[in-house]
Amino acid sequence: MKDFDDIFKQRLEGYEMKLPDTDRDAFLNRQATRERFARRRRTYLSIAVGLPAVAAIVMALVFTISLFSKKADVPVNNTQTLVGQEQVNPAQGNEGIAEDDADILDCTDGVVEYVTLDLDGDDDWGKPVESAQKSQAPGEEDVYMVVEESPEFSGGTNALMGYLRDNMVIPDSCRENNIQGRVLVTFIVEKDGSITKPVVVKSVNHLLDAEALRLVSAMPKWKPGRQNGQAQRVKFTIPINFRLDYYKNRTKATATESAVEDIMASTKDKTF
Amino acid sequence: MRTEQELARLCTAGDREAQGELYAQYASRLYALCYRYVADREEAQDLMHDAMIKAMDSFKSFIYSGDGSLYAWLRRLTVNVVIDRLRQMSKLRLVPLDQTMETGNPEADEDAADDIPAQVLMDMVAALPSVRRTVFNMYCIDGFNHKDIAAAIGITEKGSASILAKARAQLKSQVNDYLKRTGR
Repeated sequence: MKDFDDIFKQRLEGYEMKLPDTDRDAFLNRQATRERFARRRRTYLSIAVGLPAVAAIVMALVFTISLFSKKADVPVNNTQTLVGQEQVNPAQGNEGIAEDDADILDCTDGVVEYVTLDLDGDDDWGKPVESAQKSQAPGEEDVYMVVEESPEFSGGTNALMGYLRDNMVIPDSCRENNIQGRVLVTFIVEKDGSITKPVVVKSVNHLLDAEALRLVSAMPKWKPGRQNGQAQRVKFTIPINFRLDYYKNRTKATATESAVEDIMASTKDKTF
Repeated sequence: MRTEQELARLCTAGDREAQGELYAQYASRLYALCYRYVADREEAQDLMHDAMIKAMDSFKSFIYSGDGSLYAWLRRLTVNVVIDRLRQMSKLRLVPLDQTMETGNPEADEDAADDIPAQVLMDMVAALPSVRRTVFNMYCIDGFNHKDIAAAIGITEKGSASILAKARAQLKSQVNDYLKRTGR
């Protein structure tokens, strides 16, 4: 027996088979891509750990402020008029952000503090809160940046991610040239939940931008955002990640098929 | 040429050149090893990549112990990757009894068998049913014992030994067929 095994052992141990010439580059590319993703994962991880910490501090601050403001004697109906008028004219943009603490103190009691939430929680966590502002009568042009009840993709954030994943088509030329990245798209969720004015605010490549716009425009209707129970137009931003996952290119189907065939074939015979 | 330790260290650090060198030195051997287990070129290529990439992440656990220890380490790791994949594809769960097994094979002429080209031997191994192929490879070529094999692919030690016997019998008849065909 030993001798017979040795025929195979001696000849096959350390035997080399010729690989296709392109294989080396394919391997090195794959490893390079992996290292890139690993780096990015580390970055995301530190953000994921860091941001909640920052958010917790902000919330503690807000809590402290509200404790103090309890002592401040603010007439209740005064605040009520403020709630519901909280809106930001698009032209004013983010200028409302830098309100003095003093202002917040004046009108905090009963006023909800809002924190804008980015979908994957990247940049906007814990940013200062826009305090209530008086503004003009609401018209067609008014778009809220922040509302009491944020608009929502029907089914929630996970469903949105699922929608993006399932419907994303990465153009072949991007695949070939290894173009990938994160496109930020803002749009307005109308009162009826439809999506209008999608705009790319952070671009990667014109093809990916176009695909991002297509994805956003094709979304099913959202649940509109509400302020005081009334549907309002709300501006929303979502990040769309285009990733060229190596495994997607591989023909997994064939491997599974052959495995199934194997089992089919083997069940015909007796089994141990 | 770099020493094996240095090569391993540079590969982990993401040195593209070192990774290329690692590939140049070991890829075709590991590829043949994978092929020996899965009998499919594309699958073997994929597994070889997986194994080398896994190696990049785990060079930390590589301890240099003389020339060739890097290959020994890579080989062990690759076999593990291959077994994992075979298990995933559930190729190892059902063990078909082979119909073609003949009883009372004449002993293969070992001297004549020495002249069989390695690729032919390779193809014979590849032609075995997957469980037999796995057991034969692990036991006879890659130096695992029945206990290791039993643990790795989820069978008993006895089962492993009996599968091995069948694998040997099948290979023997193939070797004889080949010798007959080539007129020896």
